[in-house]
Amino acid sequence: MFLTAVNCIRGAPRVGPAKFWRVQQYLRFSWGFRGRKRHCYRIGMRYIHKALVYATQGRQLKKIQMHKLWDMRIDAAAQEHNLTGCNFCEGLARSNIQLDRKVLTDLAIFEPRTFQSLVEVSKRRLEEEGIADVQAPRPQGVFTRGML
Amino acid sequence: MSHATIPSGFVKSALQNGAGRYVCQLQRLTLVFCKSSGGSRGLRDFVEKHLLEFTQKNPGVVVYLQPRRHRPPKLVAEYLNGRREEIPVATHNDETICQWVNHLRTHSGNETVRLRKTWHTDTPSIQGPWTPFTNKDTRLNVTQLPSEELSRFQPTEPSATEKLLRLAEQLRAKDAVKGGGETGTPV
Repeated sequence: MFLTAVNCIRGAPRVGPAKFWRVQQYLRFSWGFRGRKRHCYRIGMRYIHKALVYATQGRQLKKIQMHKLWDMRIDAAAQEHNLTGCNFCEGLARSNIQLDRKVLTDLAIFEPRTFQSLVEVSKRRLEEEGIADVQAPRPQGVFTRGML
Repeated sequence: MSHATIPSGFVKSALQNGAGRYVCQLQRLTLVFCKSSGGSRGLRDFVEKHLLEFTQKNPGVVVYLQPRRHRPPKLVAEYLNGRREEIPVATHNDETICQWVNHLRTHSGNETVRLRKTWHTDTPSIQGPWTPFTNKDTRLNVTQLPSEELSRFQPTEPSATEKLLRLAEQLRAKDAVKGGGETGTPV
């Protein structure tokens, strides 16, 4: 039988003794897919490749997104004590306190008083170093009527 | 893909084993081997040389020997939480099997998964977790809301009147400086 044309079809699984196991190895990754993508190699292979690509990209994105989230949270926590997140981190760095953003976020959430004392340390350092405008500008457009 | 296809979990311990007394989590060890085939030679050597020592050191572990003809050799470990682990040991030598047996002895029986966090705590917060009221004035607890004083409008921008007054003060200050410099009499 003339097999060259058949074997050159794109998307066809590789033919050979290990074909079964090679296909099974791919299909392991289609857990949770919907429809024929889950069972059929030719159809599912494309989606499995896509899922692997997304997983690779996601590993990098997760780091970026977590960093942004930590920055937001530190800024919000420091604003409660009238200091911007940026200035707070600057003051800590100048005081040689080498806590990273993940730990600072955990402190801000679970140990608020410790975070408050860190903010005070940062403020005192910034005043000593003469960095102007330690008080954060009042956020505009926030109407709480004293209730919060 | 990886979040669902590859199982993950958190750090677990078997009832804080080791914090007080340590209890060996391995309940039963079964050695399945063939009496005559070549692949089981390592396991047969282990049974002859090292098994007695293992049983004397670990009286809490029950060891079963299952000689099964024409079957590949394996170690089957059953744990106190009901889980089971099997390790095929065909063509392994007896020293390698010693290491595998020790590996099974020191397992907790929990599934080997990717750890999402390498730590666990029952008390994440000592000072109390943050609430929206943590850093607020505690006088709010005893004020009747809505209160007139707190409900007053608090502008963020200075009003036109305030701007004019400030401008007037600045001009007065300038004139005072000029007047003082030239004639010596303030306005």
